[in-house]
Amino acid sequence: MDSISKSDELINVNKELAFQKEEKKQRAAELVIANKELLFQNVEKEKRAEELVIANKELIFQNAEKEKRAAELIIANKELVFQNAEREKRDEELVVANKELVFQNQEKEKRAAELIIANEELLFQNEQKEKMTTDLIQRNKDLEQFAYIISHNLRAPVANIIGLSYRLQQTGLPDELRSQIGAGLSTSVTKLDEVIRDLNDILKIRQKVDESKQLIKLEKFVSDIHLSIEKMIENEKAVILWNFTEAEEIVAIKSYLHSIFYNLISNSLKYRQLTEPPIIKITSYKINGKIVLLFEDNGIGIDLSTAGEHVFGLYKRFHTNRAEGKGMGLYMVKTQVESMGGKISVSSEVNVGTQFRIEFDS
Amino acid sequence: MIPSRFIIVDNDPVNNLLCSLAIKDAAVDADILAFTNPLIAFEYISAYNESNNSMNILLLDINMPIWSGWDFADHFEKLDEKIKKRFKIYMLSSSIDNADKLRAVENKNVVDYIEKPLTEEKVFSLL
Repeated sequence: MDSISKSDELINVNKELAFQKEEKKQRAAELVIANKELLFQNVEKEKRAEELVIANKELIFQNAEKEKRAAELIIANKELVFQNAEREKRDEELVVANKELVFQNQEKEKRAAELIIANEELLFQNEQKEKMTTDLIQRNKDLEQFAYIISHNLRAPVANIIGLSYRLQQTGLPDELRSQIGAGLSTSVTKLDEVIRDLNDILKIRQKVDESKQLIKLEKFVSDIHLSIEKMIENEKAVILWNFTEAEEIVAIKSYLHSIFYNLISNSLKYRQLTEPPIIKITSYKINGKIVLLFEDNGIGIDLSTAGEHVFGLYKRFHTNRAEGKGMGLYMVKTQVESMGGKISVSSEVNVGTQFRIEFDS
Repeated sequence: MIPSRFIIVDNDPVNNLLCSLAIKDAAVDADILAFTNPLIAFEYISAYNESNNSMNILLLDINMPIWSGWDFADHFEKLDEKIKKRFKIYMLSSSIDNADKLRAVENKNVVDYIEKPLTEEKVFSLL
């Protein structure tokens, strides 16, 4: 047994050694391959390493660029910070300037408001002056007209007196002629005196008279007048109607108002239609803060297209075939109305009637 | 030429009396017709039909009621030439206002302007 076993063992060990040799050969072959592989990988790694070096250099370069950029940005930032600081200074200055402007604007608006008030004041004063000027111009015209009329009406009787007194100095005048001349002289002198008296009456009205305005109750005022001319009214079978419910009283100069009413009423009676009884209506109204008096009649009327502005003229008459009269009534009425600060106007239709409208500031 | 007639148109009878006396004193042997109403005077003139070569002097006042002297002259203008040439119109007025004088002189139907009162001298100057 031992020899078999030991030869077996040696075989076995040889087999084992052969096997291990094989194994080692395999291993060596594998190692060679592995080595080649490693070599190849090394080459690759070196390529990679070279690439990385290049990439690194690239990175370093880019970093340098980035740092340059960063440095520039820092400078730019500092610049911005500085500019911001400037801007803030500017803003503060603007805020101050703005407050100043706001204040000045307020001052200007105050000034403008003051100027507007001053302007309105001036405008008002201008209007007053213009009114006054218009008034004065009209009064002047009235006075000129008045002077013209008076001087004409004075000269007329004077011319007659010159002729008549010349005649009287002749000798051998027949008695009848002498008395005619004497009568003519008397008439002319009386006429002259009348004109002078009229002048005086009119001037009295034109100057503001001492007599002051008073509150007059129209109802009683008119019924008093009505009573005083009862006879005249009866004779003409006239009817006078009045209505003062809208404006019962008026502030006026009593004697002027009396003259105005009296003149207008007696005119309406004088210039009545002959075919029907005269009807006179007197009414008072309040319009736009003014008091208006209306006198209406159904008389023969006035042809305003020819009479026009002469209706209220001095010594102007339109119906000389009717009644006596110098043509002063309406002139006086107008003068009296105007001296109390009022206005008078007329509308009329021939053979229908006439309406006088008097307006006063209340 | 000597007028056959003087026609006075004036509402003032005193003036008409004075004019008649002045005309008579001027020894003029003429008719004297006085009208105090201008309308009636105008009617007379428009109906004038004397066929001979008579000449009439018309003394016309300015300041009259109903028609003024100017109104009268305006109406006269519208009359027939045959009638118009028979009348010489003189404005006779108490007015010493230049405007009136001028207006009379400028009116083609008015010969001249005479200031009242009428005297014999003034009547002579018309003839």
